[in-house]
Amino acid sequence: MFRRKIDPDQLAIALLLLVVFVVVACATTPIGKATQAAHVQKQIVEASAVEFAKLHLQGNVPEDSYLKGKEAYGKWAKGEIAVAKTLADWKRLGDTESGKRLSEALRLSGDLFRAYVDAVGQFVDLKALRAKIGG
Amino acid sequence: MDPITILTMAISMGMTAWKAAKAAGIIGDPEWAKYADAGLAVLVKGTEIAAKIKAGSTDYDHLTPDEIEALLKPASWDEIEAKAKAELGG
Repeated sequence: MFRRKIDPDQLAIALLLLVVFVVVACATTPIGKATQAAHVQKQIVEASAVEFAKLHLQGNVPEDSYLKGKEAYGKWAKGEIAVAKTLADWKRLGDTESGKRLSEALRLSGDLFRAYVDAVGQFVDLKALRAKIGG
Repeated sequence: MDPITILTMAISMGMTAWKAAKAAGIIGDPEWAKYADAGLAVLVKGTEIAAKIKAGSTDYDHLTPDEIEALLKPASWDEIEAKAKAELGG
């Protein structure tokens, strides 16, 4: 046993690879991935809304554009609440019906997110925010 | 139980058995023992790092329904404006 010379560095790399494999084995479930996606979107929208409000306070966003952005945020927020509720229901029940309601909520949320991006995207660099938040 | 917890427990038990065997003189001091020592040290360090990464990130898979709703609850516009004012220094 262990007669062959083993390079300690190779052993260290192999064992670290094992640890990395175990971490990767913690990959998310479908509901985990859906929750993560919704959470990342929420972080992007909220961070961009703060930037948008700051630009307005500094006088760099006209009042009518600000009101449109605020309205789009309000609609997106309602959609996000619906996504959260249907995700929670899907987690509780896990049945086909709750899965269908979640799909519908996600579709609507996607539409509201695009409308929000249309409203504030010309003022806020969403790509930079996404890179900052990650995901 | 997640894989990192299982691995941490397994390594902890292995380390205890290894140290006990060495202390009791069962293993002695063969050439390969130093590789086993080094390997166990790397595994311990690796699992510590993995546990820290895991602890610092949201475990989306194991959230309860109530935690999901709380996590995804959006800020109100008043909260957004208050944060914007705070970041601009009042």
